[in-house]
Formats: sequence, structure tokens, C-alpha cells
Amino acid sequence: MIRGVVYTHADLGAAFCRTVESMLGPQGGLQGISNEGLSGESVRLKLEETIADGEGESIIFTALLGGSCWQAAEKYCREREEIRHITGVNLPMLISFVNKRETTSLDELTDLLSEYGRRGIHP
Amino acid sequence: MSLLLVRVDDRLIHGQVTQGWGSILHPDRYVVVNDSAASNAWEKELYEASAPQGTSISVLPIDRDAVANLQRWLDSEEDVVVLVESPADALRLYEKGFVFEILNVGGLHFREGRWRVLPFVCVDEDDVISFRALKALGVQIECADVPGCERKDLFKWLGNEASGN
Repeated sequence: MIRGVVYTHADLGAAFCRTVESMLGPQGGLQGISNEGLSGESVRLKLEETIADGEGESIIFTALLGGSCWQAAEKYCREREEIRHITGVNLPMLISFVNKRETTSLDELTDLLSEYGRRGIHP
Repeated sequence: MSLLLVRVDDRLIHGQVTQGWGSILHPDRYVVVNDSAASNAWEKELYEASAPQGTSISVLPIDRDAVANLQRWLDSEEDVVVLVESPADALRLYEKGFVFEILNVGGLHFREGRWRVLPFVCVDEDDVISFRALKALGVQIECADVPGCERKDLFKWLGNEASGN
């Protein structure tokens, strides 16, 4: 199963995961983490602590392009084949992630979630 | 055109800077002055690619060329925000010839050996030495993580904690 890590500011990541679980039931392999109080270097280290090498395929979700979590995730997945990163996380994206992650390949899922995330935005 | 902000932030450029300060100050350019980021082509590109619409991000090492570049941008039509990672880097930049009157302290997060002065400002002895040197050069050290919050004079807060160091 592909693991999901939602890495954002304050309590947003954990709240996203709680919200998904309130709709779809308890989920393994879905975790919200926060950059709160962390220095630039520690924001990167937090990802290394959360996703140990060799743990298998994961997708990191961040909220803000250019933010510290985004930078850390870009750096982290750069040299790791089994990690993908999507920014602009929203609820439709995470719900689709949970529903599709056991039946879809990592690359397909990454593309699909970008699309589903966009479909959730409407004027 | 004008120097909008010189900021110490160990996250360098990130949401608080581009979304928080950026939406108030409307800079044309963010300049990250950092030896490590400037020496890594990929990291440099990552920062440059994260520029909010209508702005540029430049990443320079701390040297005299950086000072010349900064001066050139300021002499042109650009409004500039400058970011450094540490008080020591702010001092080095000043000593290379980039003179500024106010230094914003926006984010020095906790790490081993640092003690907390404000919720978003932790310092160690080396940080305090650099801050004191900057103060001696006439730089006003103001703590503010986000725009709109009260500007706190670092030395008023250092007071007790720093005594004996």
C-alpha cells in the first residue's frame, strides 16, 4: 500500500488526515506532520525521520508551492525513486488517494491525484 | 529603488516571507544571500522556480559581487527583500559593504545550544556576538515574524537571558 504523508504548517496536515478518517474510517499509512517551530534544516530532517529509507512507496502532500515544506519535499524526493510529491493538497485529493492507492501504481496515482485535486476547485 | 526588508530567517524564503511579507511589501525581487544555497545549482534553481508571480528570486553567495548586484538592483527600479540564514551571515554581508539600517529577525528556530528569547527567536552565544557587532555598526535589530505584529527590539528581550554570556 502506498503511504501518504501530509506535510504542512501548524495543525493542518493532522487535521486533513483526521477529516479523511472521519469520512472514510480509520486509515493506516496516512499521517499528517507539521513544520511548526522547525528551522530550515530541521524541516528537511523531519521528513527523513518520518519516512525512513526502504519503507516503500510514499506520496508527500504539501500545501504551498515555494513554502518550507514544499522545498523540503522537493529535496527529499529528488534522489528517491519510490517517493513522489504533490503540492496544493486538498480534501478531494486525499480522499481519492485513500480510495485508489491499493489499486493504482505510484506514477499513475500521482497523475490521477493532481487531476482530482484540480477537479475539486470550482468557481 | 528601495530596500524593503533585510531579514534573518533560517528557512530563508518560504510561505511566511512570500505570502506574509510579500503581500504587504510587494517586492519585485527576493534576494537569498547564502553560500550553501548558491553553491548548489539544483537548490538555487529550486528557489528561483518558487518565485511568486510578478517577482524574481535570486540566490547569491556572500561576496562583493553580491553586494554589487544588490546595489545595481536598488539603483534600478526594483524593490528588494534580502534574506540571510543567520546573524553571522547578516554581519558578513554588512562587512562586505552592503549597508542597511534595520535588520528584521524573523525566524531563528530552536536547536541544541540555543535558548529562546521570543517564540520565533532562539539564539546561541555566536548569534548574540553577531547581533552585538551589528548593533555596534548602528543597525537596529527588530524582531517580527509576520507583518503587522509589534516590532520588538531584540536587545530589550536579550537583557536577562544574555547576561553572563
